Amino acid sequence: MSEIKLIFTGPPGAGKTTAIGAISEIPPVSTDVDATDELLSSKDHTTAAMDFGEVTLDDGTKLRLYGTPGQRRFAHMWQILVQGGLGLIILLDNSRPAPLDDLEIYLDNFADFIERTGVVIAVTRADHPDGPPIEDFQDYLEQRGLVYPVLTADIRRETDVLMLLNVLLSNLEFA
Amino acid sequence: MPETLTLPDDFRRVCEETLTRVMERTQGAYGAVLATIDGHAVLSVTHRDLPSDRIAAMTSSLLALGETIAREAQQRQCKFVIVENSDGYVVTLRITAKLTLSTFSGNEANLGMLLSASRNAAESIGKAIPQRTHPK
Repeated sequence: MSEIKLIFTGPPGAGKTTAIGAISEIPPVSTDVDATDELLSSKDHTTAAMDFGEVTLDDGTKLRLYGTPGQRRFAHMWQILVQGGLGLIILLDNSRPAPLDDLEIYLDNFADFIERTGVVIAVTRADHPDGPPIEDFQDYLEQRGLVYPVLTADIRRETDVLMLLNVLLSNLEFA
Repeated sequence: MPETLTLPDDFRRVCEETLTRVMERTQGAYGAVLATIDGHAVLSVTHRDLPSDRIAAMTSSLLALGETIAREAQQRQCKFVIVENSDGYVVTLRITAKLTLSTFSGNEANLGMLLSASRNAAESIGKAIPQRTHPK
């Protein structure tokens, strides 16, 4: 039986903890702490180290799912968590002030890892009236000369999160 | 520093005095960083050029992992984490639900002395927290 390590990242509140919790077969491991800063306006807690969950595919392959903290001050955890990883899912919250800037942050900070592995970009709250349309994310990637899958997802739904994993795994298979 | 934890002058003075006392009375101690539980540096007293912002975030991760490991081991409430290195120690303690203290020393320090000095400092700071800066 093989094992594959995948990593969820993205800004605070994008749903990394929720996504892993939506599909994990084991009780998800979280490292939430009380928020004391501007994040309090949207949530009480934040991930300080990592989230963890597991999913077993039909062929017996075990996916080990790790979620990173979102804030840049926790970048030390980003470097630790990608070690041994085979793919990245960037979750973007389209209700945040500048989702395209968020995308830039995670593409830049995980550039080496993405180059070695693969990435899927998932836009949550995609129909938020103030957020850019999905085409803007694709255009942004194109401007940077990058070709990555961009999907919309409701990460509270198990089927949506599994769909993201399937797209990522398919991409890795054909890379 | 997060706006919600801007320190009143009196409290800041207590913290500075307390951290300075740890440094003066513990052989080998060279730094003390007060931080929020979610990784923002609040105040530091150091004899070396330590990146207190980065350290605050890292110790937040460390304590969060300690708490998670405690839960997995069917224990609760991680009170402190000690990192013992070839040339020194790092002690990180939870002061309250929202504040942490980390102290740093070379290996000439007695770990027990560093830990007790850090715990006493955490207790002093915890008692001095004005209610309005520490909504439980």
